[in-house]
Amino acid sequence: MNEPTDHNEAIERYLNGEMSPGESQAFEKQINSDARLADAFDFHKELHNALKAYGEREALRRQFNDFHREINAAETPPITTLKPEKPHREKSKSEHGPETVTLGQLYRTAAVAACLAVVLSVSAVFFLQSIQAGEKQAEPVNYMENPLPEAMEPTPERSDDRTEAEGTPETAPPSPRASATAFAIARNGYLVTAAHFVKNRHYFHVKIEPDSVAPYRAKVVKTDARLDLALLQIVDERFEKFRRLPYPFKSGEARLGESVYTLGFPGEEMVYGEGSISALSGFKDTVEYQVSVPLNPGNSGSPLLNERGEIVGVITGKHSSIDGASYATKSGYMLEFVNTYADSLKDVKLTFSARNALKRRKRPDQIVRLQPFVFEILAK
Amino acid sequence: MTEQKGMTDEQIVTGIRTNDPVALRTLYRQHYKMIVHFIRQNNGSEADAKDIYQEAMIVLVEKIRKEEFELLSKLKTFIYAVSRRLWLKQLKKNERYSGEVKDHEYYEDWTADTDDIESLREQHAVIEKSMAELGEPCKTVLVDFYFRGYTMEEIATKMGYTNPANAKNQKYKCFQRLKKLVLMHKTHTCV
Repeated sequence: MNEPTDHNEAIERYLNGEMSPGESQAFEKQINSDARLADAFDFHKELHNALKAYGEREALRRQFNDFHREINAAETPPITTLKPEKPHREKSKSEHGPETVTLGQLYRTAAVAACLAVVLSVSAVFFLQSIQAGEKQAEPVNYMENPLPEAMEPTPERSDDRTEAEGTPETAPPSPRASATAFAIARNGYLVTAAHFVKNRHYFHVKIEPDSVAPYRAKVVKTDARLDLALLQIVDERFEKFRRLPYPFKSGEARLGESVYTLGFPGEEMVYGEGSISALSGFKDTVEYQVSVPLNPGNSGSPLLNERGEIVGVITGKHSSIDGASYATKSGYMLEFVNTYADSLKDVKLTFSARNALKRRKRPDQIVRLQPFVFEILAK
Repeated sequence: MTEQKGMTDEQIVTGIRTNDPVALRTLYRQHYKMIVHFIRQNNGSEADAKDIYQEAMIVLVEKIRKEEFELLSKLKTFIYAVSRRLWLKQLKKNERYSGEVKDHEYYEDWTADTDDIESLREQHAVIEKSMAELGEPCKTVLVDFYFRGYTMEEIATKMGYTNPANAKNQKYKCFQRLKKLVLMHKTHTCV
């Protein structure tokens, strides 16, 4: 590797305190006798500090946006008709004034509250069936998780844990066992899925090949209801590290009309779906895209990729009455969400990739490389 | 994370200096409505309020984290004064300033020193503009190294470089490019 020939290296070691006392004394002497070196040193130091401060500001902004979403999420919409007419509604989190919320946010808040209400009160199967029966629903977004009524039980020791159909709808889990999709975002075992799927569920198991008969345990480390994202961490002794992720995450917006595709687990088999970005804002909010990708229950949490193999979004749900209208949270918001968490970690680093091993490959080849990083996730 | 409504300014300052997220969150939630109200009263929207408020908060947190910081006024006063100043500047820039400011009823009684805000913001602007032009992956590489304190090995893993030496070389190139951009913007703002 060609090593820089100027004083960069020395300046940096000096600023980082990596020089021995003798070395740094000699370096100071050199600075004092060499005006050009002194200038270079000052500028380097200034930039060094500016970069630190810049990083800190970015971290602050992410935290602030987090607080801000909390403030918005806590506001109760005053227009009660926006809420679904459901008997078991999730209690609103706070009763204080809505005057600081814009109308768009109000609608969104209502939508989120409504979806939680539905997920909490009835199983998703019932929800889907009720729509097929032509019943009018106040909440048109279907969340694409998959309840598995008699799915395999990953850990036998937990099978006696709970008998279903007991408890009030508010406290009961949405369904005894269910599945969705998650994908890796960092080599050290972090996954992203949809927040509505993890809500009120406690045990998460990730099917990782080749040991999919004995899924890996995972825990939820952060959720954001507004973005409908959840960050999971694999906490199984068997897990070491993922291979290097083949895909980068797009920080900017995808383009209208761009062709996109997704891989998910509506059943035990991985299913591919394709379509395009049909709107740059989703269900009354700009944190999502509307995409024309066919979805089935179990697709929640699937990655959405563009032709170059960049992750552009995370699948969250679909519209129940508009054909082909699905929704995905934009990857830029996902990055923000994950980074806020990463900044709060002291001893662990959450690293994610900027490399793209998919870029110039044909789609079936991209999929082959993607497969080891997209998982079926079971919960109860 | 719990919110603590009863935190005093002193507790918040200490909390922010020790990186306590509860203090930051409490501070953020304490004064937001005041600024929304002010900006709405003065030709602005909720979105404007969010931007201005976050800028003011960044200035405040940066100040608090500096060693020489002394709490000379109430945090509330400082946030209001900085937000006010930033907002009026933006109104003037967009030629929407009517010459009249509808203020908080007690504003006259408050005092806060905000004189160095403009120069601070100019410094921010230079690096922010340069970083935006620098783009990825340089942005991430530099922030990971200088702010997050990642090693070259970690950067190589994260960014998919073949080895730490390669990552170091990339970092060096990024730093050199940033230098050029900063010099360019500095001379621009000085003219």
